[in-house]
Amino acid sequence: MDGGNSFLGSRSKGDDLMKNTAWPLFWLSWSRAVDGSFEVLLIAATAIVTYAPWALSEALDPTSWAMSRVQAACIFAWVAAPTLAIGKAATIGSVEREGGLGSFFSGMGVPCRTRFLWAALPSLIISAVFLVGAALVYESSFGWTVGRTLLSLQFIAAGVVVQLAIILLAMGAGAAFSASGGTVMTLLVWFYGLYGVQLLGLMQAGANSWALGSVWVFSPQLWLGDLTRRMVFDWGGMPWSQFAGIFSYLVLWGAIASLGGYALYRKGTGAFYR
Amino acid sequence: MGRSPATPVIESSGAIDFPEGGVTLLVGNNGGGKSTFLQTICGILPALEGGDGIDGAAVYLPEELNFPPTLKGRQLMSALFRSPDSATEALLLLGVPLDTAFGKLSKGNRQKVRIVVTEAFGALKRADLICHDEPMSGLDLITRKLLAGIWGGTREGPIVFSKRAHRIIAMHAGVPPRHQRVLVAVGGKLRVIPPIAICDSWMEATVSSGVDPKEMIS
Repeated sequence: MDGGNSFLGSRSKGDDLMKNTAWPLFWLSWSRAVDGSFEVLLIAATAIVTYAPWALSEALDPTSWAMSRVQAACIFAWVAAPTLAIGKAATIGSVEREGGLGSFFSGMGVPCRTRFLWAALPSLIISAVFLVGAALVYESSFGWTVGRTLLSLQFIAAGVVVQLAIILLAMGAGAAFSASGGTVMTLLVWFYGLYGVQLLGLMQAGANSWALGSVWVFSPQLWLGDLTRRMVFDWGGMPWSQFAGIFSYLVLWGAIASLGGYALYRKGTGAFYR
Repeated sequence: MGRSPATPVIESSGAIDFPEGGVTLLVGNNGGGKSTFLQTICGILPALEGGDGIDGAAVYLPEELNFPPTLKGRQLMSALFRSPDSATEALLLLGVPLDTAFGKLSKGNRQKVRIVVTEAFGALKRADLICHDEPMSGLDLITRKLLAGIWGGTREGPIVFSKRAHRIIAMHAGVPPRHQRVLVAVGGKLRVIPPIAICDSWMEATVSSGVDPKEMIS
């Protein structure tokens, strides 16, 4: 290898590997993220989506069966899988700080932002699998059409943007605080953005309060990205102009959340330099 | 020399050269700045002034390095290296059970895994400097002597690590590898002293070099 060193095979293989030192970090994070719970969730989702219609009355027509399947798949894509991914990302962030992996890879010259993104990638893959799965369930339940494919793509695009940001936030929070602290903090943001904000909107409309209105305006409107209702009721794709507005808002929010997560990650791992 | 908000500042004047294939022993009291020094020269922490760490490639093994607890030795090497055979063989030769999950290994065997991974990355990166922070911690006597012999170049062990890299070994006690110099980090100050035969404590190492330890603490 070098100077007569024969420790790890041929020089060319070593050179290939070292073109990207972040790959090992990805695999280490992958094995933490996919440690059995992901597989269990996938099996549970398959079983529940398959047998969801059984929970309905036999008197209902087959369209209701399709709706129940799609709803079950979307709940996994927007509630169960993100909850798991957030927990995994916070754990990985925490391990980067406490487990020494951050220092180890930083010492080898892997920059902080590279470590941050590569370590978060496995958790995003978990989320993306369920988003794509829900889209496939939708198309197979109602039948393929251009409009449905369009909605599927919008569903996946909005979901990936929002969930990537929340996963990066969880990574940072895990690194800055702890695995459990980061998980709880990020889950609060997640569920507030999905459901709490809508509740606040109703309260604000009823009370006509300036203070509540201000809080609502600056709250993360993550529910905008959840197109479950459109899929369950088979409304087809959202008009592009409308989707572009929502998507732009989600990208902006995602950028802010990701930068927040990165700042927390840098603080947590002590990466003030690299 | 460097700092982070949670670690002490360590001062040293002048550049230190690390000859190819050599060993530098790093001793010092708890909180004296050993880890800060290692992290600074590896570029993990910023140097306060006088340079940006090492001029070359480095690999740093922190005192704590935890791999995924469910990964077995063989799986871990496959996850880390494209050609894992030699690294896996090294684990086997050091007596690490390859089919036991990392989290279920004994403390000493986990440390062997960390050392092999660090040395393997050092070889792959063709590192100029490999820094081990307390590598002997938890190892049995035979392994300590084996590693000391290999690192010091006095023994052709079953494992061939990089012969190019200079190593800095931070340690508290025991028989050190053959080394060119000793760095003593005490109270945030760094001093270079000649080689020592046995590393019993930083204080003895300092006294044997004719330096009054109080001078360093003050």
